[in-house]
Amino acid sequence: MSFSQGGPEAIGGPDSLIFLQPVNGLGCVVDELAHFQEFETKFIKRGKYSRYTILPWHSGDDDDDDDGRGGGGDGDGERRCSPLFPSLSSPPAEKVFFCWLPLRRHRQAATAPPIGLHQPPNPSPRFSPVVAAAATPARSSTSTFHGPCYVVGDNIDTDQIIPAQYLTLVPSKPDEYRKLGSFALIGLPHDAYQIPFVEPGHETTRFPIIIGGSNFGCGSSREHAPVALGAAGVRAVVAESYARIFFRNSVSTGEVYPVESEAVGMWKECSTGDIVTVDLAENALINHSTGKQYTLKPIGDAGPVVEAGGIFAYARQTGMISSARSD
Amino acid sequence: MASSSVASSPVFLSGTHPIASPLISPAPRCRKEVSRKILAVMAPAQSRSPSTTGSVKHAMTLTEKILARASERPQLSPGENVWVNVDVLMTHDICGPGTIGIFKKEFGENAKVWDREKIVIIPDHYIFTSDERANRNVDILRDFCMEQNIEYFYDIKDLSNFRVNPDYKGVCHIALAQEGHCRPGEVLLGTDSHTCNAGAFGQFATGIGNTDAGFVMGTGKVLLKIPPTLRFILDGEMPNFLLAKDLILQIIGEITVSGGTYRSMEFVGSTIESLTMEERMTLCNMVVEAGAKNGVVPADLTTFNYLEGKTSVNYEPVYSDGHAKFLQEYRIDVSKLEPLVAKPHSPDNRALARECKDVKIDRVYIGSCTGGKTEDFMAAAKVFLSSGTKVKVPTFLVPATQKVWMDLYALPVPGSGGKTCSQIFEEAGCDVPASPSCGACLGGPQDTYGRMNEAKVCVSTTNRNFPGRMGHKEGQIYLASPYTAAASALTGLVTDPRDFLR
Repeated sequence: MSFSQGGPEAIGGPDSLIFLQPVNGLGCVVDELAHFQEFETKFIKRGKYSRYTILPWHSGDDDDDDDGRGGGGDGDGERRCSPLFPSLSSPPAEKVFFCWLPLRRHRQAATAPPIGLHQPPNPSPRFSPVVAAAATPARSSTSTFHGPCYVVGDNIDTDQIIPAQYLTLVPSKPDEYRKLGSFALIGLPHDAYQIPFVEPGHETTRFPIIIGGSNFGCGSSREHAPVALGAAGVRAVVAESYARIFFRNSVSTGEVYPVESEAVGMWKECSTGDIVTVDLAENALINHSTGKQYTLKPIGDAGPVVEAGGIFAYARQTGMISSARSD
Repeated sequence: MASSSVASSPVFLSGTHPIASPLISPAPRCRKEVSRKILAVMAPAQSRSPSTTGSVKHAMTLTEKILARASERPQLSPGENVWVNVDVLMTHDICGPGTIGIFKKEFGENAKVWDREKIVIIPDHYIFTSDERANRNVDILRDFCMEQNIEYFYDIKDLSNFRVNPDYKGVCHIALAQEGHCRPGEVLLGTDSHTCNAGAFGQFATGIGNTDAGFVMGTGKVLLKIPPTLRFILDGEMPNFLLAKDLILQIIGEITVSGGTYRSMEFVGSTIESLTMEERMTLCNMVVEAGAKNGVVPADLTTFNYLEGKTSVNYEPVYSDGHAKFLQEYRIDVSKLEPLVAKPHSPDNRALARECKDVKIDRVYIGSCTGGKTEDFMAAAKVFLSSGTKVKVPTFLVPATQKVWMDLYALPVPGSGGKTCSQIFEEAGCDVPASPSCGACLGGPQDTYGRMNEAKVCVSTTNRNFPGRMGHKEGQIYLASPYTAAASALTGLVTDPRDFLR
């Protein structure tokens, strides 16, 4: 099977969905472990993709479960949908590739995906129309975030989020912005936090969601803190409460959604690596790994500002600032 | 501010101060290119028009009054979001370049700042280092100040000798005070959390991030939510072994690191009135460690005397109304307090210094905006003088500003028979006072003087002791007053200064 410019070829039926989160913001779903290994050799080891998650797709009532291929079916015959694509009620009939482009402020101006892993321009009849539906939810929804979470406790101060020695990096310079991302949460003490937030040698994290306790972001006013988290690939922080300057900076820069949980102690019931869904429209956090659900406080007026990309972008969008059009 | 309108819906137009000409457009990148210059900013329409005379006004706190005046509203209540005119914007070498980047990106490469006399740019954080990026960041500030003709830029070019740089000051918050930029009743914003230090002057002073600062740079306005006020009434005569640092550690230990979040902290009472300006600064400096938005001490004769000769700008202090509503009031009898420390790893991890007397320490650090002012060094010198012995651990001294450094070498210490602080420090075996800057308070580049590059135990007059704050993640920092720090240096253990002060 080849991964070439213009789209992949689909083979057989999926055993597992492997979701890839690459450096440049393109994601794709790879089917079958064997293809993944080829994929891994070609692209991951060359540093084009920074992280991936293997999600078992219980493929249901056929015999494939017993032949030991790919991910785990539990043999109960029930088709269940991957938590990553809740709108898919059943796995696609064919192997598919799926791409999504998360909005990112500092993303380079739209360039063609470097390796052409997107919906092929001439879709093969093998590609199920369900794929298109799968493509939309994660792509268009800026109010729902899925993925493994990283759990921290109370009073995570901005020195732990981005230690002072990295403050010589200027966030408004794109290459230094990216470097800040690679140092996100590097200040956390080793003994308490054994899983690094950003793998050594990488620039982004595999955890798009951080779960925290109270007074998240206390300490220094450095805007480098929410910037580092955003540059690393964090979409939302869900904490019990925030320090005011960090909250303000998160909103003004539009780097991360600073979401508050209703209850206290959520972080104690979650573990780093749990797959969670944060749904801002429903004010809910679902931990798929534990099966628990938590209520979130509405993000309110801060939400649209973050969604727009920060205070300046929001002010332009809403007409608070008028911009001259060039001729 | 010249460009603010008097209408009920403040509209500030770019026409009143030069901004990039609309004829200059950025190079088009794609078909639907939209110029990113801001030509006009409109605040959301106010829901009520300002009342004229004779209206019944409800009582307001000091902070509410400052913000009401700065937003041209007759009265305000906590929780309201208002656009506020800014009197002074401060930035430094860590956040300045980022702020400038945002300002240029949003307002245009050729945009001009809202008021070249209201922006104060103070390199102070990573100065005496060979880190190239740190040095480059000071150059970025200089280029911008020259381009914008910024009135107040305390430049440094020769890093090998701070004294040959006549403009260089040092730590921004102390420089702001010493140069007369802090005035009662005004609104001062800075890209640093300890900007709240200036609340000692009876003004509203708070820290903001680069993006907000970039916005202020262009417009001179900021959107703020009015905070409710916590009132702290401190009475009683200040014992001779206690300093303002002990008072604020007492308060933070009481209300915790988030007890002041989104609040204003107001300090009144006979003890407060007896404090000098530098002591009041120490008090307000650390309100952010309780999560507070700002701290404030009402201006009085002490304030006016301090400001004499420092500023020619007219100012008008304000005071809390008699019937103003405070969210909570705390009464503290200062005569009952004892010297305190904040143990690792949180500023609210309060303990009596005498109860930590078994803690062996490796070093002492006296410096920063919190504990590196002239009076802080005078206090430390008093303890060394009283003891007459030598320190048992390396003792780092980092004056906050050039002026403080000069005071160490010029001012006689009371009761010493004419000796200066520097002489007393030398006799006690302390390190030579270093070049003034923020130094190792926040770690900094690896070669920063006094940085904790190994896991050590340090008693420090600085403001934070979270993990890794001074450099090494396993370092243990005990926050303390200059008295307690000096006493601890003499014994090599965390020590109550009463062991030396009679």
